[in-house]
Amino acid sequence: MKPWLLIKNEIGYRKVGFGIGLACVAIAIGSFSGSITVLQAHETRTEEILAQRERETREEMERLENDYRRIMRNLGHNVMILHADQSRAALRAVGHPDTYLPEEYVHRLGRGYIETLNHLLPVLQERTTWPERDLDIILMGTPGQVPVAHLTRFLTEDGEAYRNPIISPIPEGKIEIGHAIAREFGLRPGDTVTFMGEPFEIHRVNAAQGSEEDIMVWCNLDVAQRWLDRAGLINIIFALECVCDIDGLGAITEEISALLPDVQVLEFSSRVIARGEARQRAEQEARRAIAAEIAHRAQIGDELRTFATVLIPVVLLASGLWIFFLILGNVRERESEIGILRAIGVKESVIAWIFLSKALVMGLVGAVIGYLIGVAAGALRGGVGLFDTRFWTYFNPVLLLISLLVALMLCALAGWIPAMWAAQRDPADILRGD
Amino acid sequence: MTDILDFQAISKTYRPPGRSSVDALDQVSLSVPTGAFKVVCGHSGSGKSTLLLSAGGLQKPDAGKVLVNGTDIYRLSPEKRARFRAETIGFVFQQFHLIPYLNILENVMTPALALVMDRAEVEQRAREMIEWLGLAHRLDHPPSELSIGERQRVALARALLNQPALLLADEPTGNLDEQNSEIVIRHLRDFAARGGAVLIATHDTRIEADEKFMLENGRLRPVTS
Repeated sequence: MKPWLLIKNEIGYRKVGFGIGLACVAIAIGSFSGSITVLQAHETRTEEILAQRERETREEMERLENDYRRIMRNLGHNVMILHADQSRAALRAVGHPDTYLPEEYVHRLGRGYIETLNHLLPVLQERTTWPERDLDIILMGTPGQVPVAHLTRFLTEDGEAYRNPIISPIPEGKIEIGHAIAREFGLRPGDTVTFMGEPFEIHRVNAAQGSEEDIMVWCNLDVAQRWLDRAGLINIIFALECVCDIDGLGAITEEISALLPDVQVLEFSSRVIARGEARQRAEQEARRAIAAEIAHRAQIGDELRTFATVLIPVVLLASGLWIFFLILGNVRERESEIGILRAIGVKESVIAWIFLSKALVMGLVGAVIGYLIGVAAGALRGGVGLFDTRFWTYFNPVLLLISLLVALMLCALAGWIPAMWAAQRDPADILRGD
Repeated sequence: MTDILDFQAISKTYRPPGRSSVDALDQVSLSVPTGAFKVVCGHSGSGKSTLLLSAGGLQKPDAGKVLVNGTDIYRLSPEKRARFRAETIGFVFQQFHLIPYLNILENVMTPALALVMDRAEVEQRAREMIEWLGLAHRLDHPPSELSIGERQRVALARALLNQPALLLADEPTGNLDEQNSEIVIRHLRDFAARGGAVLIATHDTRIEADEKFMLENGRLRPVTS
């Protein structure tokens, strides 16, 4: 006869007590495996959501690309009007035109009722030195946007200015500086600097562009003409958002040349750049949305982890105590059995093993039940449906093994003291009661 | 005749905390040889159970020696004493102490837990024992389905399974009617007649024995009929 027969039959005989113990272990292991599964499901779901967002962003980008192509077809050209003798090679080499136009040209264009023109900006641009700072700069003088006669609806009553210009003139006594200059000298809006012997307040610091614009100093055209000794001259007229069909640059050139015979018209800031910038902006927005989603999911993950780190020890401890008292109660209930087993010569170790084994059986069976329920509940809680093919992937043998080990340790610890107590009960105390 | 049990000036005093001490056994000497059927009578609390538990190696006396088959059992380690008990001594108690979730056959076989024995041989012996006690038709019944007398016979079969040299019975008829008491006593006598030694502790003075003793105030005195 083996002790196993006693363990097996006793479990069958005291089903309720064993069932309660089983439920305790199942709850403990269910909480444990369930929490882990919820976290796993959360992480898997996060990866899926992010992959989905990436896919959506890519599709959105492709859609935007097509949209921009379509939209840009209807957008105007940005052109610059230079002197007819201006060499393009020199323009690239020097960085600004070295031939000049009379300032009056821009006003002639403005009054010329050329309907393709929208915004006119005359500029005197030259590379020079800021003597007080011993700094190479590009000086940009402009009076601001020059009115275009056919756009009366946007002009003031006297027709001399825009009500809401897209490019405003630099106020008197102020300059704007590029980002590199500001950074080098630690300049900020409102600071006063001396420029070519005159005091100027910094009106604005332009954002970094990563181009020559970062070393530009913008001032009023009169000031630039005075400093550069180019009275009444400019060297570029920017004509922005000129409206025409897709092949209309030739038409713009023709119309401008009719008024200004000694100029040439070049396109700048191509539609490809504009489209690229717009797409980049849209992509940045999409990336920001993905980053926000990642942060949100990470926060939920942290909350789940925190919850699990509190829940699991509490449930394990409570279950352990409950199992301890159940086995203790079982020992008391079986005193007569312990007495007679000791009387017939059964060793203390065998008696301890009988009680401990029962606790371990409780742990094993409870762990399997708890594992199955916990993983299923965790997967469902994590948003994986019962009929989802991924549902079964959460039932992994490693977690089962860990669950079994945790349950066995829990039951061994909880059952150890009662089992030892049972083994060391004095049979004389029990049997003398007769 | 060889003495199976030899009590040599055994004393045992209980000292419950906060209460006065009780001399359960006071210089008790007694021997039970092979084939003997001896009875110790006494009232409740007279020390009968202490006498039997001491004889069975379950309660160490304060003084004196307990020799079973010539072995001073309290000089053995607890492990060895348990094994010695399993091989040499059988117990029968008033309350039977049958295990409720084992059937009759399994209950009778429980002493095999203490010894390494061939299962088939143990089962065969258990069946023979049960048949000898007239319970062959109850083999697979749980104890709860048996009458009181039948339960005591099962307890007796269990005590005899390992073919002990000494059988210690504490109030074996205490819960039984006259008819069942006779059956149990008859089987105990039978065991003694086959070469076993039987010592019974009881308050029932009607039980006939080879030798009878009265235990009073921890002292044992022979009873002459």
